Amino acid sequence: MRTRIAACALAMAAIVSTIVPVRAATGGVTVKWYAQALVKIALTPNYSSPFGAVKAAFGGNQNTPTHGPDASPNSGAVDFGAVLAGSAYLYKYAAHLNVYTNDNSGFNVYAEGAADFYNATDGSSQSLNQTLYYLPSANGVTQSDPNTGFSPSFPFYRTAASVSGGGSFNSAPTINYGGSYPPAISTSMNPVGDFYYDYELRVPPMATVGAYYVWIVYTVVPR
Amino acid sequence: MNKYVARVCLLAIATCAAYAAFAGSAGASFLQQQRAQRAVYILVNVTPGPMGYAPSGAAAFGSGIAASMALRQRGAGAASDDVAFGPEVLLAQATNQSSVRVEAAVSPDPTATLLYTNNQTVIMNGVAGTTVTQACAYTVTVNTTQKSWTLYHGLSNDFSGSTFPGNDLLNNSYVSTPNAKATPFVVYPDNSNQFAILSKSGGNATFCVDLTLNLPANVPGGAYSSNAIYTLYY
Repeated sequence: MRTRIAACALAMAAIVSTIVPVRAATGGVTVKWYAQALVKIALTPNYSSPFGAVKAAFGGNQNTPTHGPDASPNSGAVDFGAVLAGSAYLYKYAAHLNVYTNDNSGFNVYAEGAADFYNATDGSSQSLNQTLYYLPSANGVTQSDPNTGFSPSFPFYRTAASVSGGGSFNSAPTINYGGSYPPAISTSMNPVGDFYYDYELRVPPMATVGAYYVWIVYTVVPR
Repeated sequence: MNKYVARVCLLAIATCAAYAAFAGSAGASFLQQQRAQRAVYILVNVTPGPMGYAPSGAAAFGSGIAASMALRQRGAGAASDDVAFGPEVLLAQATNQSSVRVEAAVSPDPTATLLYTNNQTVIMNGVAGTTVTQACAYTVTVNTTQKSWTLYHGLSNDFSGSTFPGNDLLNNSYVSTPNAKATPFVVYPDNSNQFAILSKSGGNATFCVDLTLNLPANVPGGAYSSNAIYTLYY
């Protein structure tokens, strides 16, 4: 009898346990995602007219800019054309860099030479940081370029990072920084920015005669 | 006849006076012509002083400045930018590159040996509020058989306006024995667009230029540049 009562009680308990609601187990699920910073840049040489080279002079003695045959509006090279050893030149409206990134912290701009200033005629080189310089310019639309060949400027350096993808006269190179960058030449605190640069060329007095070139590589990294 | 001579003399005097007044830096040598000009690029890398400095009215972060030109050079700061990202921020770092080719066709300068320097670039590194010196930082040589010439010198611009004026840089330029003391460079735009006379002489001469730079205590860290200009007239 006792056995039957016990079995009945167990059966009742089992039935009740399926009927009485129990409190459901809950927990938070944290969903995270990581937005990859994207950056889009447009580099435009000879971005406004009159672009080109002017021999360094003071005051109102500024000549009309001229350029070599490989420079053309909004494209081509920054071609100083014929220059004299031992003289200094300003290249107006040399390069415009437009940057867009989705990083609200802004971005850094790095610019370095893939090599020294190379004389393709005889194979010699001139140190880039004693030859080619950059300085802020104007947009050429709402502001005109106030610079002269003696305006304050800063040297381009030959990169210490690895260069790949060519670098010959007709082959644009790339620089692999491996996450370690040189000092930035420009910085933006906003995700969108425009930078305008003039170049200065100070031809060393002992530079050999010939046709020189160097690739300047601009790299933009979100901050 | 005497009146005619007097008028001619007056006219000549007036012409000379007008020429001297409008000839800019060549005013004092209006009977001479510019023959050659050379520039020595001077780059100054300033490290902020130990006390730090907060310029009044400095733009605050996010104050509406859309973009700034950092113009920071090697020697002016850390060897590389700190672009370390926390692991919770980015999985991958996107970069982008683009390049432009720079070209020039170099030919010899016919006046290369007339006036030249042994050094085209001088780099001076220092801490704000200190003095930096470089003995014989460069030489300037006049190489001519002309018996009378004038050599002018000065800076093309201030390093940074009134915060870091160009006359903070002093020169002691001498042929054989240093002068008793160095004198500040004149700055062309601050000196009515005129340079100062370094020497009036003849024949060959080589000047050694000692530089003394008094870095203002309030100059922010960074890179600054100017040009020491040498112009030869005869």
